[in-house]
Amino acid sequence: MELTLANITKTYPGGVTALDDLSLTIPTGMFGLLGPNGAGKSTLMRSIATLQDVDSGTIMLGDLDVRRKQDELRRVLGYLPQDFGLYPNVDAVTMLSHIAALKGLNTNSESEDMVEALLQRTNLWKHRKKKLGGYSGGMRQRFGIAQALLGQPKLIIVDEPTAGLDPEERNRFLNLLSEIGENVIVILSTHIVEDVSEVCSRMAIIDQGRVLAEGEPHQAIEAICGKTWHLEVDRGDREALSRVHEEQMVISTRLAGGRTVVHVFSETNPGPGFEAGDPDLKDVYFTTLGGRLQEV
Amino acid sequence: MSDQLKQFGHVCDFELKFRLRQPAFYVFSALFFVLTFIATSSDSVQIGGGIGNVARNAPYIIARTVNAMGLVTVILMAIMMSTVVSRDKDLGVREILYSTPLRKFPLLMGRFTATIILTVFSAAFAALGLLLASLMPYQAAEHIQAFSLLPYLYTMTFLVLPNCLLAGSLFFSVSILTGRAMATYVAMIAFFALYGFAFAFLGDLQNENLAVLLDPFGLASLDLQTRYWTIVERNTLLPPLTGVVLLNRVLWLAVSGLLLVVAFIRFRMDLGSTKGGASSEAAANSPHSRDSGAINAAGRVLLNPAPVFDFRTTLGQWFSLTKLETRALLRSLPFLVLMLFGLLNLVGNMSSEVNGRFLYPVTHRMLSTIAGGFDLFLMMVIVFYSAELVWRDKKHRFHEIQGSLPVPSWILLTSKFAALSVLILVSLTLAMGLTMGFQLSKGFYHLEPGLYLRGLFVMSFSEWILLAAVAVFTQVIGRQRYLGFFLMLLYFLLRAFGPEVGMEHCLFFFNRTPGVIYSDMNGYGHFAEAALWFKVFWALLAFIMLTVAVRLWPRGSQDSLWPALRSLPSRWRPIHSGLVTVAGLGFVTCGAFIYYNTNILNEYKPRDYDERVRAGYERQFKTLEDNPSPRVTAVVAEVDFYPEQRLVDIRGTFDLVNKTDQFVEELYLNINPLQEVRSLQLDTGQLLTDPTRWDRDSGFRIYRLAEAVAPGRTVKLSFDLGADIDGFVNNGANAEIVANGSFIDNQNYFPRIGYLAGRELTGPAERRKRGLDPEWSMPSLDDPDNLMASVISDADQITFEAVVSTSADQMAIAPGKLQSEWEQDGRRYFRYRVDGPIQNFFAFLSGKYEVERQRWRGMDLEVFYHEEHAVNVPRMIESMRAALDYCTSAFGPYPYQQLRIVEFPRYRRFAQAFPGTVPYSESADFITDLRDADNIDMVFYITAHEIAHMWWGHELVPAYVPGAGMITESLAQYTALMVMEKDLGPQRVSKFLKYEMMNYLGGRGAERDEELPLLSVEDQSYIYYRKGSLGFYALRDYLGEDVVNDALREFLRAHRHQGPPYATASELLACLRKRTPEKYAYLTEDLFETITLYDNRTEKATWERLEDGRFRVMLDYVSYKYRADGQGVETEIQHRDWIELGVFGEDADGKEVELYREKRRLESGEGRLEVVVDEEPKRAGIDPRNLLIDRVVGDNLRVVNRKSI
Repeated sequence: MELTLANITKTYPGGVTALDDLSLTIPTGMFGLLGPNGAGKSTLMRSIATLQDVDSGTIMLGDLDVRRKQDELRRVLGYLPQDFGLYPNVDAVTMLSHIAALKGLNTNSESEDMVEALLQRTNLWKHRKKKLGGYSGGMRQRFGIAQALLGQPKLIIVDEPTAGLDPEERNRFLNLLSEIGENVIVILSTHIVEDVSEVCSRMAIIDQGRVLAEGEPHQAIEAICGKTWHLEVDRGDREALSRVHEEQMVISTRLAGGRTVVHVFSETNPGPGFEAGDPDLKDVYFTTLGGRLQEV
Repeated sequence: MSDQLKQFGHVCDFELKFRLRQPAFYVFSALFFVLTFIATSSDSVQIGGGIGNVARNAPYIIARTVNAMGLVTVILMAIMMSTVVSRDKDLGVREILYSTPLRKFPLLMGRFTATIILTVFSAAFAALGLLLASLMPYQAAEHIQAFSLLPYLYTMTFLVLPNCLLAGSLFFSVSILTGRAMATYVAMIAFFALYGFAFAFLGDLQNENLAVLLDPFGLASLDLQTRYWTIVERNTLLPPLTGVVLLNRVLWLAVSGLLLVVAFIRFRMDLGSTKGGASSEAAANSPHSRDSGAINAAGRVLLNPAPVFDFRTTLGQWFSLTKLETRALLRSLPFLVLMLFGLLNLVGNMSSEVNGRFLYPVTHRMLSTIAGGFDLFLMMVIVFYSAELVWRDKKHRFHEIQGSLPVPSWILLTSKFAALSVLILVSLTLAMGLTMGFQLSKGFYHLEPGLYLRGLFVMSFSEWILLAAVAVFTQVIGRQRYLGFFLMLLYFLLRAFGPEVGMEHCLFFFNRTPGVIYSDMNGYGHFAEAALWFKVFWALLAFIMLTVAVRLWPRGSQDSLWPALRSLPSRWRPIHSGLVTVAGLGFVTCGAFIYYNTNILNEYKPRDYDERVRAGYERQFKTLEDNPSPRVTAVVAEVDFYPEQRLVDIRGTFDLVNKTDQFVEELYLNINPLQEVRSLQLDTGQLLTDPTRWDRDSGFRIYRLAEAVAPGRTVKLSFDLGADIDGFVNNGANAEIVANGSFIDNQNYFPRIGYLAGRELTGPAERRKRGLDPEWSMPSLDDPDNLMASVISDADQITFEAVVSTSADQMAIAPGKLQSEWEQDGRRYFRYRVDGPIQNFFAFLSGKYEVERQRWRGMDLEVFYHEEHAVNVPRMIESMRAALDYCTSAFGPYPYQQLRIVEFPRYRRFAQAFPGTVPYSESADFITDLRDADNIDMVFYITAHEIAHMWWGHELVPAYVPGAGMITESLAQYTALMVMEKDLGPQRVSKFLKYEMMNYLGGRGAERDEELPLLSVEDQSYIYYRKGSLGFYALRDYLGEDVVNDALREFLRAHRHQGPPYATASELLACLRKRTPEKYAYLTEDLFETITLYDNRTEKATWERLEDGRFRVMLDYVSYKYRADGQGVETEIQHRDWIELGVFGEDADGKEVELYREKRRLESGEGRLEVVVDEEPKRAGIDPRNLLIDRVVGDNLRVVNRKSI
């Protein structure tokens, strides 16, 4: 099964074009959606999740016309919004069981087991009787993940899921996702490149409502292999920095060990002092975003 | 400090700009402006009062109107204050804001000040609307007085500003202390509740000062200070800022200051602790828990049972949602607080008596009490929680998850709606429990759960659920909580004011139904059917609205309405079309059926219909008034009631005598348009089939007689009329012909002869509006011709007999002695006859009655009553005996052969004396609680009053000229007072008279035209009842009962059972004056011929002990006497009147005892009195019993202190 987006456009009342004639095909497996803030990721996620409608274009999940048959899509959807809250005066078990009922899981021992399992997996078992209003940001996020995985979803959309998780939680979450992602479509929207490089089999980079690149992460990295070069300069050496910016196609500028490392894109060795880089997905990402200088 | 000042200025400025970017301010200001502008431009919309001769821009009206708008300002205030500080948290700017150098004081004070400025400014638009409207060129000169800015400034400064400060401080404090918007709204409701309490107390003489202090709006104090104001005072005076008003303002400003201080101290500019979060996180990350999560989970997660979407799932979703929502609602603190207020208010309303009269807590009264004391709270609960339910997900930022779940929007909506229904049911059940508890606590065990079920859980519940539908709909349409609230406010305003501008058909306004009155006798009667049809009609519309709301449901991130509307067609499914079509068809069919009933089957009568018909009647037929018309001298009637079909057939014969000296060529008949004329025939053989003129609205018909009736000749008129009540009407359903307790009189159901002046409009405003001469008065006393007719213009004395029939389970009653009774064809027949002449004034009743029958001097005393209403029947009989005893010995023999009281349903609330027969409404006295002997015994009093009418009004008939009311009503009041005093003692009479005083003074204040002295009173009940009681009681006290009764006997003798010329009040006055000693000569003038008021006060009272052990009481008093003209302009007149001096002590039980009471001659102005008494004095004063009319009755008596040496 594939999720096919064809020519979708969304313009907000203020005149901001969030999605600009965007087309994308997302197969089964983990799919990373990378893009800077304001790129249109969340609009895209919300549109697929039937939370808002696009102005034009089609969204198909297999044979299912998502824009027309919203209720049917929702039956196979697991969605974790970027920013969400929970009813403060309800405990986790009650709430998750409630969501289970809403997801078509009739109350029985099986669904109870499942609620229990999910609470275990998301590390909330100990806090299952606690009111959700008392949950910390990380606990809330884990609860969000739990509810998204309920009910055998065929399409899972997670919008910035790792924000607010500590590194270990993040790892465990990504593991959980990739376990599930073997058989279903998982769209992982993020601006954290590592999330994608670690778990996604396919990815797309979008900015200003358009797809800039699409493919498998390792292919993308291969494509720029041997074309990235690093230059270390002193942090205070503004002159050297600006010269590099003038002369070279700078991918990004990062700090490492107190020095500034400039990544540049070049078919050939740009000159003295440059070392051949071992490109990673970040380089792909920033290269794709247009060779503009990025401070990270 | 200057830094802080600068910060303050900055915050204030920012706040103003912030609020001015939001719609609330503009919306409310526009509303205030428009409302007051309209109210000042028309007579039909009124906010601050404004009737008759009070100018539309009188200071009194300005103060009341602008202050009333101040009530609405409170809502704006609450909206702004609810987020005044908490919005920083909601918008997440707290962290930034609190880390700036901004200090607490400038932050809070700046925002507070800005909000106050804006609300006061907004309220000023109310003043502006009034001001501009008063300058409009279309205003008639008599409605407007010269422009003055002062009243506006006064009102804004002393009424509106303090109210805004107070409400603002309260809401501000609550808002920042709790940090919750809802808490602010609860405070707002508490504010309104206090106001409600205050007004509940205001009706109670003992507690009016409490009421004044309690009311945070100062409206009650305004009311108390101005309620006895006359027209002139209302036109010229501003409420003085003294006494209770001042105290109220000071008290509440102090309270608000205190609140502010507390809030300022308690408020902390930090983020507060995020409770528990950090520690739980630590626990969650502990190694142990980590392990527990790692257990081979992948497999288990994939073990998910597969979701199923079938009917059971739908049901499961619905129940799970409903349960969750209901739980949240019922546990929410604001709901509990609102309920608490509502129930407290209900308790307050339950225990309040009506004008000193205590009634048994019968269930229908409890239902009205709930409607009066609880409904407002329930309404707010519904409006607020409709918004809460629609926006709950959004508020908790759960809306995106909720929106992505496979739950159809209709399930979301219906489950929320179901939760709201549970909320309503719980509220109603609580109210029911409380009222039942109250009933039991009063020792009243007739609980009627069935009536609660119908009244609360059918009638009320259906209304509330429909309100919930519209509240949910407006939230969905409004797309924002406040816009939704505002739409609801508009909805309520439209409902309130719509009828004023002609949109009064119930079909115009959602959830409106024709009024339903429950009567113990007749149940919901015929009212239920109409209400039911309307409820079905509105329920179908609500269903359509909710179906649309489902499709426009603000699901997920869909914020604005337009995208939702745009995608509506693509989301619209055949099922929706189907549902809407079916409901729409039902709606239209139901509406058509209602319209058929209200406008085709029955004539649609807007509320000014009667006024229009009466004006038309006068305009068309007044010229015929002096044409010769025969008079009725004998009536023989057959009346057949068919109660279950609500049908009455009336057949009868009139003897018509031409008592004039001219030929009667035309016969003028007034026949109720409700009635079908089956035949109308003269004994000359002429059939009256085609009137030469027929006004179908008023039922006036003119017949040209084939054979003119010569002077002195008699003709017989036979008639056969049918009244059939079909279907239902929009309002004012006929409540005279009903299933149980029909009561019709000849004034409305028998033909009446000639032009009836009694049908003319009398109010100057109504007359002006209808293009009639605004001046209307009763026929002048000076023209002797006018003494030839009583209020019943088409007959003098008649003979009367009737056969009345009804269904087998009912009894039928008419005036007169029952001659015989029989059954025929399954119906019961009764023949009645009055021996001797009566006026052309009789009635017929039919109902299922129990009968109490006793004998008095060989004649029957009977009470026909509803089986549940036996409790006061013995007391009625006692009163009948007492009144008959008193009147026969004081005035002369009783003119009839029997006396009966007959109960009728409470659709009309009065008792009325017909010859020997008194129909008496079930509304009050049949359920008056007389168990506490201290209560005013209105059962006894009113019964005696009606019986007194057998002499005053029936035996002695006044001419239809000014002063007639003094003869019939004032003398009946006097007689009843005497009968009551004999039975219950002067103390209870005195208590009763206090209310008479209050009602008289209040009645003057509400006078629409001109106050008249008792002697020339027209249709002014506050004069002929209230002032009549006071005047005659005082006269009796000065002259003595024997003297007064002697005069009345003489007056009665001159007119007993006489035809024209009829009696006048001046003859009565002459009889009284003849017997008045010279020293009291001023008294008859004061009481009857003029409007005289006293200002009697005791300034200081002291006592000292004399050597012989007795006590000398020294008393400083002031006494002024005023004459008022019809508009209330008072002129002081010097007096040397006899005013009572009274000294009171206490007996061993602490009960007040009279030590001294005697009339002394006092001079105008200040003076000193001395008196020696035997025991220690406690209280003393002048006119202690309030015999004289005095606007302030409480300062006549004063506590006596021991003289300090």
